[in-house]
Parts: sequence; C-alpha cells; structure tokens
Amino acid sequence: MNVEQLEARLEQLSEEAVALLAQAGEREEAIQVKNRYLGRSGSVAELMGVLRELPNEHKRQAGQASNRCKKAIEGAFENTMASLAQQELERRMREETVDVTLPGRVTSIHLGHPLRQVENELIDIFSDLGFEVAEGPEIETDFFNFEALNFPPDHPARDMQDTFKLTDDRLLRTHTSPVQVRTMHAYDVPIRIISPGRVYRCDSDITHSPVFHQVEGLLIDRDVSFADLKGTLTAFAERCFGPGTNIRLRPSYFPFTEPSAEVDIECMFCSGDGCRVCSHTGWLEVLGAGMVDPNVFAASGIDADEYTGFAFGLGVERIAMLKQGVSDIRRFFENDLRFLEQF
Amino acid sequence: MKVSISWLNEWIEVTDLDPKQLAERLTMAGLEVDGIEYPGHGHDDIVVGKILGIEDHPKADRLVVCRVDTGDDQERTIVCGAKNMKAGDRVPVALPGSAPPGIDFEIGAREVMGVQSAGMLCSREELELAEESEGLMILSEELELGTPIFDALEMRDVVLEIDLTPNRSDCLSHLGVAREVAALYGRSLREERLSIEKISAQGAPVSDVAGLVIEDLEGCPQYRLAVLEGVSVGPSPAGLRRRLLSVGQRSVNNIVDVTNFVLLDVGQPLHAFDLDLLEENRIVVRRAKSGEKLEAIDHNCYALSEADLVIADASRPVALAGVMGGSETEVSETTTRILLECAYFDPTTVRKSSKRHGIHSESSHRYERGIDSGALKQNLERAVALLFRAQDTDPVLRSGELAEGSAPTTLGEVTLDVDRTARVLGIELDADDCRSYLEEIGLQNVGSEEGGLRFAIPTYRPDLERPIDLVEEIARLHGYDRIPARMPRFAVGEGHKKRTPHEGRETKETILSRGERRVLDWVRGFLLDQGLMEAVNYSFMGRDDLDRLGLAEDDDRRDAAEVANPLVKSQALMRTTLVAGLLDNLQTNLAQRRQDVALFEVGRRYLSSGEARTLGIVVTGAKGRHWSGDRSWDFFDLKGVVQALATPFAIDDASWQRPQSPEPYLHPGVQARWLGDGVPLGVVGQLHPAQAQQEGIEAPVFFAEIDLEALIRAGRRESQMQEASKYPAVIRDFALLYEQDRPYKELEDAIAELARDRDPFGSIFEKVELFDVYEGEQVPQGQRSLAIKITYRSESRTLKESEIEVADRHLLSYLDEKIGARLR
Repeated sequence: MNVEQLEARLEQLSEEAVALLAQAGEREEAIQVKNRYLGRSGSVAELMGVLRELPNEHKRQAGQASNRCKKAIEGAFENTMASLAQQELERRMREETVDVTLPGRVTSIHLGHPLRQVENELIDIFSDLGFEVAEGPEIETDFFNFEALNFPPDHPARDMQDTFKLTDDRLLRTHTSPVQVRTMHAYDVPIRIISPGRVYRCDSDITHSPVFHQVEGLLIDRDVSFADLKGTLTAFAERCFGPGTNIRLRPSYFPFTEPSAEVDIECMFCSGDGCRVCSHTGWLEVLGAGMVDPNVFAASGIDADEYTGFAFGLGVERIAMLKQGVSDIRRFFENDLRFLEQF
Repeated sequence: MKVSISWLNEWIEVTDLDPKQLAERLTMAGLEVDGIEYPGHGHDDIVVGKILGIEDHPKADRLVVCRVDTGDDQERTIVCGAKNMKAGDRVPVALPGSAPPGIDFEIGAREVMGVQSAGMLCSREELELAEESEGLMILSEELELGTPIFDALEMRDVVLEIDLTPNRSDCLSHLGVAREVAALYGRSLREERLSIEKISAQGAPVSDVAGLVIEDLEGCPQYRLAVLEGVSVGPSPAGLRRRLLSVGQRSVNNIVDVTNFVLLDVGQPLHAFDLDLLEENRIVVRRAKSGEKLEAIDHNCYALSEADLVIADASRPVALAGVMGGSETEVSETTTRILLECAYFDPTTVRKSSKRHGIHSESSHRYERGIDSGALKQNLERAVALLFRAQDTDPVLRSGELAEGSAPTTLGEVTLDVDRTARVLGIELDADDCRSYLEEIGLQNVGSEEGGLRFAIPTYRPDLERPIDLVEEIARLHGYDRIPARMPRFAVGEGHKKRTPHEGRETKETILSRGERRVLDWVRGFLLDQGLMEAVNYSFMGRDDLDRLGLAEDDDRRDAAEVANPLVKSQALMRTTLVAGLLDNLQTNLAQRRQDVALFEVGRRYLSSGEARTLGIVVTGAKGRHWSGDRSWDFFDLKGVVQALATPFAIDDASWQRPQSPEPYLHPGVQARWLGDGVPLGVVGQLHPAQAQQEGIEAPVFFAEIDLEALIRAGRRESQMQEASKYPAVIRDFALLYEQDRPYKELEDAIAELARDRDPFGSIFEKVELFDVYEGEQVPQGQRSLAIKITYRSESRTLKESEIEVADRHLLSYLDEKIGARLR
C-alpha cells in the first residue's frame, strides 16, 4: 500500500466513523464507535501497521494523514458526546418540571398575640418619647398599691377599684402605679418611666376582664406642668392613632393625681362626627392622667416644693379593642386559633 | 346621681339651656354626664280629653261608645271597655298614630265590631304611670282640653345621669349641682328657694318629750333633732311623689318621702323615728356593744360590733348611724309622733360600718364622702317645713332645739401660691384670676400675704383641704381645653440613677435593661418564626388544675398564693405553672376540630419564691400541612426548638437528662429536663398517655415549660471571633453497636472526654455528629446502632492518612473499653 492509498483509506475510515458517531443515540454507542476506530487495536491503528513498509520519505506524510483522521474522529466524538449530554440534560429537565401553580410549603408566621402587639407598640411610642420601661411585682402590698398613692385606708376612692385580695395580707395590684412608687423609692429625680404590665380587678363582662394590661407613665422633674402632660399625650395620640388626632382632657378624680383628667381621643371611626363606637359623642375615653399629688411625693420622700410631675395610664385592651375592632374583651384570653390567626 | 332639670330649675334658671349643651359643660367641668333621659317626651298625641257622653255598644255588652272632645271642635267616638268613667270626666286620649308608653302597639282609627273608634282612652298603666291599674285615669277638672298629657301632668322632664367622682360629695344633691351650674354660667341661685319657710313651734319644749346624748363625739360631731306631734302618715302629695319619681325614687309615705326629698334636694340624709317606739323617748349616739343586733328597715338582721356607731334609745340600737334605720322604730301608718334626726357622722366610721355589713345606702354614700357639716340647722328646718306641707292638717312642732355638738361655719383656710399655680398648670395667671375663679365656687378670699392668697373653705366643700385642691379648681374653671400643650424638656441621654438608700424606702430596681427587653423580644420573635402562635392566659388557676396535672402533695406548685375573693373557683389560685392554661387552650381548639395546635405563652408564674417570667409551649398535630405530605410534631422537634432558645444566652454547657423526679403529667419515658451550666432551665415532654386519655385527647401532645428568669440570669452571649482553619477536614463515619437503653449522651460525653487528652485523638478532633440510629433485625437483640460522623481537622497542616488511622483506633478502643460501644 503506497502512501496515497493509505491516505485515501484513512479518509474513508474517518468518514465512516464520523457518520457512525453522528448516528449514535447513546453515550455507550459513541464510545464503542470511537474505540472501534481509535482504540489500541482499532481500525486506524490496524491500518497504520503498514507504516513500517513505507519508505521513510513518506512516513511523515502518512503520520499527518493519520493524525488528521484521528482528530476528525475525536472531534466528531466530542460533538456527539456534547450533544448527547445536552439531550440528556433537556430530558432530565423535562422530567423535573413541576406545576408551579401548586401551593408552596408555607411556614405560617404570626405577629404575636394582639395584646402583645399593641403593648409593644405603646412601649415603642413612649420609648421614642424618652421614657424607660420599669416593672414590678403583680402581687403587691396595700402600701404600694394604695397607701403610698394617697388612697387612705377606708376611703371611698378604694371603691373605684374592686380589689382581689389574697388570703395573706397581700393583694393583686389594681393598676401598675405601684411600680411608679417603687421607682420613686429606688431612683433619683428626674424620673421618666412607663410601666407596662398586668393588673387585676374583680369584674368580668364584655368590656371588663379580671386580668388586663396597663401602660402607665410617670415623669418627675423641676417645673413639669399640666401643659407638658397635655403635650406628651397629644404626641402619644398622634403616634398611636395617626397624625392630627385630637385629644380632650376632662376634669376627673384619682387619688394619686391632682389636678386629674380623663383623656378622650377624637373618635377615629367617625373623625369626631359621632358614631356607634363613640356613643355619638365623637370622643373615646382612653386614658386617665394628672399631676402627681403632693401626698404621693411625700410617701416616697420627694420634695413636692422642688419637683412636680405628671402621670398617666391607659388600658392595653381598650386600645386593642378600638384598633382591632374586638367587641368582647374575653376574646383576648380564650386563645381560640380562629381569633389569634387574624393578627 | 340623677338630676332632674325641672327640679334643678327650682334652684337656678336652667330652662334656657339646651340639656345636651348643659351636659357637655358639666362633663367638661368634671361632672361626667353619662346619659340624658327625656321622660314624658314624644307623646304629644296623647292629650287631655273630655267625655261628652257614653252610649252602649250596639253589638258588644262589655264595650261602650264614648263621645269625646279633645279640644279641637271635633267630636270623636271612641270605643272603650272601662266602666269607671262618667260623662263630663276628663281622661287621657291617645289619638290615632300615637303609641302610649305602657303598650307596645300604635293606636289607629279603626272599626270595633261595626263602630268607628278614633283613638283610645288610657289607664295609668297604659301611660306607664303605674305598674297596674284598673279603669281609666280620671284627670283633674282644671286641665285644658287638648294639652299633651305629660305636659298637663307636669311630667315632662329631662334627667341627667351624672357619674360623680368620689371627691365631689357636694354635688350629690340638686342644690350642689345648681351651685356648680351657677359657677359655670355665672348665674345665681334663686333667693326664694334658698330661704326656708319658718314654721312656728307651738308645742311644749322638745326637751320635755325627748332626750339626746352623744357619747361618741368623734363618730358623731353633731346631732340635731325635731319632734312633730299629731302627724298622720299617708300618701305624699302628687308634687312630691312626682319629684321623687322623676329621679327614680319610689314613694313610700309622706314622712319618708320628705326625708328622701331633702337628701336629694340638699344632700342631707335624715331619719324619722316613731317617737313612741323609742324607749324613754331618748336618743343615745354611741358605739354598739358586742352582741347587740339590729333589724334594719331592709328586714335583715345585723350583728353589731363595738366599731359600729349606732343610734340607740334607752336600751337598744335603733339605727346604724348614717347607714340605715331599724325596722322596729320606723315610721308606720299608726305613727303620730315623729322624731326627725339630722346629723353629721364621721365619714370613716360610716364607711367602715357600711363595708362591714355590706349595706350601701343613699345615706351612707353621702356620709362616707362628707356632707355639708355647716348646714344641719337649716336642713332640719327645711325638712320640718316640708313635713308640714305634706300633711293635710298641720301637726304640732315642739319648740326649742335639741342639738349636741357644734356646727362649723367654715372648714378652715387654705393658702394658694399664685405663681406656683401658674407654673404647675403651665398658664398665665394672676391673683385676680385666682380670686375670681375661686369666689365663683363659694370660696372667700380672707387675706393675702407673702406666699399667697388665703381662702376660707365653705362647709359644703370638704374636698378642698390643700393648696393643690384649689389649683385643681382653678384648672377646672379655667378650662382644661384652654391649657396649652407643650413638650416636657429634658437632657438627651439623661438616664436613671439609683437613689441613695434610705430607711423605709424600697431599693429594688424596677427599670428593665435594654438587653433584658431585647432577649425577651428575641424569644417571642423566635417562637413566632417557628410558626407558633402566642397565647395570653389569665394568671389564675383552680385547685382542680393541680390535681389534673397529678402534682404530688408535696409539690412546690401546690404552694400557690390564694385569692380570697375569686370570681370563680377555677380562678382561686395564682398560677404556679403555665401548663394548665395551655392545656385549656388546647382543649378550646380541639373542640373546634383543630388538630394542629402550636401555642406558646410568655407570662409570669407566681411562686413562693417570687414572680418568675416563664415560657410555656404546647404543640400537637402537624407542623404545617402540605399536599406533598405532613410531618407531625414530635419530641425532638420541640426539643430542637427549645435547644435553639439558648442561642442568645451565655450558657456554655447546655445538657438534657431524664429527670430524677419526673413531671407527673408527662410521659415517663418521653420527658427531659434541660440544664444550663448545671442549672435547671425547664422541661420538655409528651403529655402522659393516661392524662391525655383523661382529657380525651388522642394525638400525642408535647409540652415545654422554660424558666426565663434562669435564662436571663445566665446573661447575654458575647462572642469572640476565631479564625477558621485553612486546612481540609477529614470525615469518618462509624456505625457503633451500643446497649439499647444506654443514653446517647454517654457516647458523646466519652468522646468529649477523650478529646480532652490531646494526642493522638484530641489534637485533631473537631466534632462528632449523630446521623443515624437503628434498632431492629440487623443488630443483635438489646442493642442499637448509632452512626456517627467524626470530623478531624488541624489548624496547622493537612492531615495524613496514618494520623487519622491512629486517631480512629484510639477512639474505637476507648469507646469499647469505656462504654462498651463497638464497631458494627
């Protein structure tokens, strides 16, 4: 076989192999074809056995032809493999295709109990206004709950709060005001605190719960005035119920403050025009407030000539009921999922 | 306190004021008007009519046909079933279209068995003037035909319901409210109403027929009495009855009605005794002796104590002073001589008796809050005059006065610092302003000096004792709405400083650190992120709950604070565990056929050692439902949630163990105590199957109760960065055979112990992870296979295979020797 014949033969082999590879439908088949032509005892290697018989001047030419043939086959092989891989990928992806409209695996996330949400909001508002959070015990003594707050023993003002008594001489605090007293005892003036927490009164109907939550505030400093109280409560009302919310203070009576006020906010449901929620008054009673009574200062050893202060208190349930449209206070404590899920 | 506008108008001109605006004004002055009633309004079409003639009904025996004139020149025929009227009588006529208040339908013009009937003739009952009545209401001859009936009867009124605060005892009467109106509108009280009709006494001196001794001047600083003879007890005049009815007071008789009227008119409680029933005709005001009893006019018998102030006769108590009279000496139809008491009793004494015996009366309500101590004399005169007016024939008034104790003319003086007042209120104010505000409410400026203006306090304002009380009055009269709104000033960043401790002062901190609040927020947030919902329960539990959880007799949680006056038995104790409440919540939801419940509560437990913030969790059912399949909550899910809770806290060594004294309400084999650095942090477990059965719960339920105080005490985790190794890790898997009932923890501990010795294992050991637990056919009986991954890594070099092999061998032989765990 001369070199030209060899070249022609190699050409023929490469064409055969390329054609076979192009038809190969599977990786295995392509590998077999490749091995059949390019393997150690494949067709190309076998053919190249004649190299020894060729004159030296033709060996180079034959080598080049052989390389061309190998490259062509290898190239075809790579292509085939790549295209098979591509087909395989496409097939797999077709199999993996899902109905994306089926429901996802949702983690049901909740924002917490409605009372806690409101309580936290109130705390945030007053924290922003510069008040620090203070806490105290719920099982209290008569001194901290009443006496130090200017409720003399056997005074009709005690009737304003139906007290749960314990079988020892303690009681369940009827407001978080004892925390104010404890704070005045333990800290120097100036004082700026809010005391959120649970309070107790023996009463139960759709607007009264034996256990409920209050947030009370206390600010004591030099030259604190009733005007400062009004400003603070106005700022609170705007942050809690929206900019422009008007408030109204009415004279009232609490033993621990004087002058005292009931604080109404403009009804947010009718913007003050009068509706069912506000009993057609345009106002909703949400807070009690006033200037700290000098007797309260005296009970905590604060000089009432030097310092003045204001205090205020509001019910978390009351605010929550207004904001969330809850009509029966007992819903908050039933922990029915159908209720909790809504918040 | 009900205030009749027409009654009020006797004291002060108010007819020109719109009741709604008056109510608003009073409310804004601190007399909160809760409601306004309009008795007698809206019935203009029920009028006074005159019966012109009565004829038999042609078809019905029981009915008659009346010809009626209602003042409009038109004769109407009205069919009627009553018999008590005659031609010429004036009767109430409900015209067609009207709706008499005592019946629940509208009157029409219709045919009654063939006769046209244009309206209805009314009885008292149909006008809601009596609960029961027979026949038509026959009216006075003088009433003008056609006048709306409630106008004609002078029953049209407006009644304000005022919710008075305890300090405003002065407004517990029409006079008091009139004074307030006078101050608010700059009007004066009517002179004629202020003056009192003088009754000339004709009888012999009162001291001849009655005696008075006050033994306890502290409890009764003043007592006055009058004696009337020849009285006849009977119905009150219509006007008096009407006044009382207008504020919801039932008429009793012409004596008691007068005392009630005076109480509501000027705020003075009075009591009328039948003089002839008082032994020795004597009044002794004294403390009760123990063992004494009193049957009060409410017909309850009260056992008295030495703390009770009583009115007694020569031998026995006849009234609980200021609270309620006795039934044995009360005025009755046979009474002819009355002794009328007008007294001032010490507020605290009255309140204590009222509380002790559970009697709240109109009288005690006023005495407790303080009545006008300076008005007893004129109030008694007023009452006597009214008693005369309520009698058909004049009785005889005993002359002279029987009075003990002294009547103050003022309650002392209070000095007001004008500058300070202005500063406290944050308004501009001068002495003239203060004077004019306070004089409006009856205070007298009796002097001025450095430091302020001196005011004499009238006896009807016992609430004004201190300068600050006057400041409040000024604020009220100035108008809260006219006080500006300002923001308080303070230095940015100014924090609270602990006060120097002082005898008798509490030193315990109240202010929560920001860190503490943040970790508590984090705990809530984390649990919410896990898909749990937040519960809020009452702080109570019942004794039943303790048994329901099967707590042992000596369990600390049985040592719960007890509420003396619980609303219901199930709220008689302060909770010492959150589990009972959560179990209730679970039941609430299971009853709604909700199978998947995952709730937590952050709340306090009330332990004998103090109040402890606590986390409670209950989970059952699926963790989340999906069409691809559900996973139910199991012990390890909840344990994992709880484990993660430790993240923000500085706990070095958190561990879990089977509790030595298991929780009785949890499955004995599926519960674990969680410890942090040796301190118990809480418990996690499955509801005991027996308890679950008792509760009627089928699916497994898991509870956790975590002591947040212990977590907070551990402090916040502070992390220091450590450089990660640059060298690769080598991971080896081992399946170890291990006795089935020995805890995995032993294996982990053994590895940790071995790791403590550096070479050859400890220096390259990084961590161990359990990745499979197998029990079954493939392993010998009584054993289980624990598959663990050991990670080796060095910080200084790439590990060589030979090092690893040495470490592996070392580990395996150690585990075999130490705990008998062998390669499978």
